[in-house]
Amino acid sequence: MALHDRIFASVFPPPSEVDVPTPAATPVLGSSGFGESFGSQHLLQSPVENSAAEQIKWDRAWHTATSYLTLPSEPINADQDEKTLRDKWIKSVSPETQRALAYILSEDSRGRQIRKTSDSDDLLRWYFEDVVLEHYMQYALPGLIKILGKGEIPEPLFELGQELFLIQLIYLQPLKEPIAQILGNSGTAESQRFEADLHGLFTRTLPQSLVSENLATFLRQQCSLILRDTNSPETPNKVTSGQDVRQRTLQFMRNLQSVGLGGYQAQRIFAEIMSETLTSHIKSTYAGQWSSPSAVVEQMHHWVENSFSRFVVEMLASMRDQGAATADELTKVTHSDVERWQDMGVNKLGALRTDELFNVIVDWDYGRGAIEDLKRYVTVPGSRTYVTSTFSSVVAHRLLQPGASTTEILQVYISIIRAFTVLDPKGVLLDRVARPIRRYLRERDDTVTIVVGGLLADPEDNASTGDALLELAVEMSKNNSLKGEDDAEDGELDFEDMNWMPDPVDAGPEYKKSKNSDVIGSLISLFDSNDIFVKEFQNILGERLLKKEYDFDREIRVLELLKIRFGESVLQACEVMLRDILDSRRVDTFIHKDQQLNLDDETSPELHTRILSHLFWPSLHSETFFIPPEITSLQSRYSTGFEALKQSRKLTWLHALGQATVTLDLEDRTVSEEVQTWQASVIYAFQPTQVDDPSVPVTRTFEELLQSLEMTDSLLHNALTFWIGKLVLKQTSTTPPAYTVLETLSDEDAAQEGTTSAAIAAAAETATAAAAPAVLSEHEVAQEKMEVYWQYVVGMLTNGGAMPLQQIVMMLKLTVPGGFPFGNEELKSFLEGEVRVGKLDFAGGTYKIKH
Amino acid sequence: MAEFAMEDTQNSAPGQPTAHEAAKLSSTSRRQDAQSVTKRLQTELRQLMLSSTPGVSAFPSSPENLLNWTATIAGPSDTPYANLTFKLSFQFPANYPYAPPTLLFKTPIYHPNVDFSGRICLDILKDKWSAVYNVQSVLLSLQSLLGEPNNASPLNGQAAELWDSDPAEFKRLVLARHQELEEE
Repeated sequence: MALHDRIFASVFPPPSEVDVPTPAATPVLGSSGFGESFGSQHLLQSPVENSAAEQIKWDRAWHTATSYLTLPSEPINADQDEKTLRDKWIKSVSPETQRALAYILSEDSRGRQIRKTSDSDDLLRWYFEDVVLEHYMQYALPGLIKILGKGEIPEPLFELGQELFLIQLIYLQPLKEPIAQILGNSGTAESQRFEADLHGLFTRTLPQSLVSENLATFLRQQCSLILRDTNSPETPNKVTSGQDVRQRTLQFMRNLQSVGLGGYQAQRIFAEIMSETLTSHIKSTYAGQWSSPSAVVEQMHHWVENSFSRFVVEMLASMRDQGAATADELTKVTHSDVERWQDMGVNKLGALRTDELFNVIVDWDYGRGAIEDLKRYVTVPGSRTYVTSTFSSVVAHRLLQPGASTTEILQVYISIIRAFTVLDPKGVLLDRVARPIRRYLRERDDTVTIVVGGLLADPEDNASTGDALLELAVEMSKNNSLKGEDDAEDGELDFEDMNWMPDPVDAGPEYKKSKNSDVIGSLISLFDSNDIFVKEFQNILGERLLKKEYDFDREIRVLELLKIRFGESVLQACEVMLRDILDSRRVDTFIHKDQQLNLDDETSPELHTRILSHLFWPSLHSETFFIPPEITSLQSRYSTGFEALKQSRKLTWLHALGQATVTLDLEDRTVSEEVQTWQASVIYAFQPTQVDDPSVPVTRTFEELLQSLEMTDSLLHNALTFWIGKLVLKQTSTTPPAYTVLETLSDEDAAQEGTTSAAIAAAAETATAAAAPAVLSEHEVAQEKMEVYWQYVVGMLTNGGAMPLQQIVMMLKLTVPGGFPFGNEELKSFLEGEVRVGKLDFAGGTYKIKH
Repeated sequence: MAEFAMEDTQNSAPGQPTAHEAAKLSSTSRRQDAQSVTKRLQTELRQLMLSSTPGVSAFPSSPENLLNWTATIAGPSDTPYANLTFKLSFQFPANYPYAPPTLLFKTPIYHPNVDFSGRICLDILKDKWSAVYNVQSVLLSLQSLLGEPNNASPLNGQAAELWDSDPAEFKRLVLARHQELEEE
């Protein structure tokens, strides 16, 4: 047979290339097959004879069929109306064509049998490869690509869909109409196969990235339209439009699916878009929704279940192959899928809340709901780490920087403690985020002062404590029960404890339960030892005790609370201080009675004292200056009285610490002021003496005052400014500075009062406030201690010989109990001072003692 | 048999701490000792600094180790040692103050109770030591020893003899022997 074919083919070209079929009349001149006898008449029905006839028949049929199937060589113009298109592209099927098609397509037609092996019997394949493919590549594709390239995304997609739909319709037409009828049952399968090939062609040839981009944008737009606000009450109008959009989208997706653009590719894009939608929905709907109790998670679950999932199901259904009767695994939505989406939603919500966390905490208490949401999220170690690390970096960036005041940082830290206690009662997360903050706070100088100040602040008195940590005072007053600490201590050993829980898995090795949850406790424990805290407390307490009148309820309360935390012994000094003040009143009354200090005439001054046990008080200002003789005599009488009352104890007067009520009788007015002692002393110096001319106001120069009062420059200056501010004194000359008493307020002075003197008065107030602290600051104390350190330096240099600065500092750090509080620079300047006064030699970088 | 032997050693004295544990225990106690010694020495140093006794002073020699001190004594004015200063080294034991510190004269000194390598014969530094003594009292004792040597138990026989017999020669020898230490 093969040989026969070859010979045959050498004479007649293969039929597919024949444009004009062999006419039926042409005599058949065939060579006989191998081993066949030449054609005698009775062999007319021989296979050779037969196949030749069949061949002609086939060829003719093929010709008819192919010319029916050929497409015009021009692009399909989608803009034309349907009729034009139909006329142009869809040919009517003549009976002849019908027969030819039937012949060629029928499995058992003889012509087909003959050509079985030559691979050229498949009309449909020919149609696809030679007609459709060629037409598509040549005319359709360039147009399609042009469509994709123009207009704003995703506009081209619609056009593309329509165009493709049309193209597909036209290409498929012959298969639908005549061929499917002819093929009967197998027709649908054939046409499906053809369609699949066509879809493959479309997806392969169209630029993927453009199509995906368009599709993604389209889906994103539709999703946001359809899924937006579906859970919030809305106008019916919106509902219908939403429904409309939804229907249109679904329809469009079905169209895309029908032209093959809805396959796995599109499903993947859809999945991405849905994930995005979930994120953006959560972000837009729940960002800033921090109210408590929070129903956000429930709302979100509801939304996912009813809106989100429903849409996904519909979309997937529209993207599924219509033909495929059974939904395949990937597009089926099960209940567990919905649950997974809800979990994803919770995670995305968690991420959102984590980003918001800092703001939530800054606005703490308002944002309690956000913490509740977050609580649903921090259930696995991964998310817990995410929350803490993200939050820590935000804190480091936004809070722990020089721009933030210590009060702010403490405020936020308190909020963090509260918020994280709600978030994670076990305290593991708090422990993690608090560490860097605590480390940072330790570096700030004023932390202790602010914490102690906060503890002692009066929450009712809003005016005076502008930036103090009122929070702490509030916390202090409500937090009376301290059971947490005891529980934590023996919790691990209590074998009867049926509520015992193991430490969380991600707890650090030093984790201690509820260690940090109590605000005051964690602030107080900022520093390694209580000493710093107690010392600061002592200073501030001293200050307040000396300033205030006899009303120390708050101080007593705070002291009692601190005693519970620190133990009695640490706070003994404070206890003594408090008692000193309270005892003073008694002692004062007693001495007054004993010494009959009150029985003097009206004009003489009164003297009341605070008697301090100097050992237990922080270092106090002990400047001395001249005190009016009346007061001095009172003091000595008072001392006598005291020594009689408390034997073997002695009074040392601290002039700078007192307060005086001064009443000045001027010519036209009386001024009464509550002032500091040195201010009183200064104005007393303007009291007229015998040498003064009584007719003119008293004038004193700065130098005179300095001499007579034995006061430091700054104090004197301060006092003069104060009295000028009060319009009692007036600077009458600048060189040398002299001051005169304003016995009468002249008009111009009165006029001035409203303007400049107000400023002066303000300056005087601040001057007083600045000079007022009764307790020496840490630095001042340290300066005093420098004398002691000098002894160390002397000892060191006497015994160790000459030493460089660095070594001296190191030795001091090691040997001074409690550590050496100065740095290299301070010590250097101190030592240089000693070199100047000739106690030290400095040579070759080393200090040496001078013998 | 080897197995048995091994088991034996493992099970021996179950209540006793093993050698390792014992080492750990003693090291803890030693550390505590070291801490208390440091504390005690710091306190002594502070007292010394605050009370500043004329003629004697002492200070730790190096920042690394508080157990080594250097002290300086000025010779009492009415003795052959007048106007001389002497440096000493203090070596405190780990269980100070329950054991006396070891003292050595670093400055060469000619004295009946001090030998040529600087070792000192003083009862309170040996059997008469008590925990109530401190650096200051030891230094004051040494200062008075300079003026009143204990010639009954001399480390330097010649000096003991000369102290009584020939004060002038003694003074000459003292000055000859004395030389300022070069400062490191």
